[in-house]
Amino acid sequence: MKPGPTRRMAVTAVALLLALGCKGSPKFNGQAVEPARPAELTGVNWDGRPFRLSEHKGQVAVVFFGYTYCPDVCPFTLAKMKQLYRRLGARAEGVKVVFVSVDPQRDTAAKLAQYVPAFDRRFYGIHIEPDALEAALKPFDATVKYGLPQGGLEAEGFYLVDHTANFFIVDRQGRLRLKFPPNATVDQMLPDLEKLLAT
Amino acid sequence: VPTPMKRILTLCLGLVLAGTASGCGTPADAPADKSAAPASAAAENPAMPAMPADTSGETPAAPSPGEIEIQEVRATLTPSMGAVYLTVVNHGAQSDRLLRVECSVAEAAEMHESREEKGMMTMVPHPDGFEIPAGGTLALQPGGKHIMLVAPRMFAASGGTIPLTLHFARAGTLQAQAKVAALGEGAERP
Repeated sequence: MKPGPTRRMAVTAVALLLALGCKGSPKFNGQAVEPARPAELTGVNWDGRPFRLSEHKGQVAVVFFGYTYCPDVCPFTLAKMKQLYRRLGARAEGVKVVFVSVDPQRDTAAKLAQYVPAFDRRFYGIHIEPDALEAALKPFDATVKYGLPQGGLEAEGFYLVDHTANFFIVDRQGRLRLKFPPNATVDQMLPDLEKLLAT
Repeated sequence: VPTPMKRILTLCLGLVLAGTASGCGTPADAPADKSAAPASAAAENPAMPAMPADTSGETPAAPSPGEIEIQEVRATLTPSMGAVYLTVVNHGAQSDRLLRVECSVAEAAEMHESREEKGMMTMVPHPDGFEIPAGGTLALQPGGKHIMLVAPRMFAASGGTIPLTLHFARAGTLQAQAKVAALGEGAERP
C-alpha cells in the first residue's frame, strides 16, 4: 500500500495536535514529577487534629520534610514559606504549607506545636506514626537517614537527621506535580504556584 | 565524639564563671544603635589572650590588630536548636582558621555544613573549623556553612543578642554578639 492522502492528513493532524498540546501546557520553573501522581499524607497536625492531604483538594499545597531539631535548613525552609505567604498576600488562602516531620520519635504533635506555629499559625506541621513514615515518604521519593546520638550533652541522645529537603508542589486536583531543589527561592516558586492556582 | 564536646562545655562553663558572659542576651547587651552592624563587636572588643587550655597545637603568630574582621553576626533560634551565621574577612596576608566557637547560652556550639545531593540535605561536621584565605572571606550562610547551637537557652530572644567567643589560629580570641533574628526572618540573605 502506498501512502495516500488520508495517511498524510493523519500525520499532519498528529503534528498539529502535538504542537497545540505543547503550546497549551504552561511552562513551570519547577521540575515536573512524571507521571503526576495522587499525593497523600495522613497524620496528626500540631493542633492535635487529624490531617489528610487529599481532603484539601481545591488548594495548592507546598509539602516538605524536616524535623524540629534541624539547626539550619528547616528554619531556613520555613522562613522561605513565611516569605512566600507574605508575597501571596490574600492568595495565601489557596496555598497550604505542609511541614512533615521525618523524626516522629522526638517530634510529637506537642513538640511540633512549639515549633511550626512560631513561624506562621497557618502552616501545618504533621506528625506521622513511625511505622507509617516510610510508606508516606515513598510517593515523594523522599528518604531519611538518622545520625548517631552524640554523647556528653544534656539533651540526651541528641542526633541529627539527613533528609530529602526538596519542595513538592501538589496541584488543586491533589496530584503531585512539581519538585524544587532545597535551595530554590521564593521568586522561582511563586510563578508556578500562581499558574496552579489558576488551573 | 564526646571529647571536643566536653571541651566546648568546659570552656563555656569557664566563660560563665569568669563572668565574661554576664547578662548575656539581655536587650541591654544589644548595641544602642540597632542599625549599626552587630559585628563591629570584633573591632570594639580587643582580642582576649589565647586560652591556656588551647591544645590545638597551633601557635598563633602575633597578627596585626584588625586583620580579622567579623561582620553580619546573626542567629536563628528555635525551641531546640539554633544556628549562627556570620562573615569573616581576612585583611591579612596569611590565611587564618576559625578553630572553635563558644556560646555560653547553648549546650554546644559546633561548626557544620549543610550539603545537598540530589535533594538530600546532609550535615557535614567541621571539627577542624573553617579556613579564611589570605585577603579572602569566609561566609557562614543559611543552607551552607554555619555554627550549630544545641539546646540554646535563649529561645524567643528575638531582637536581643547572644554572646559568642571565636577562636582563630592566628588572630586569637575575638568576642562577638549575634543579633537574634525573629523566627522565619532569615530567608533573605543580607
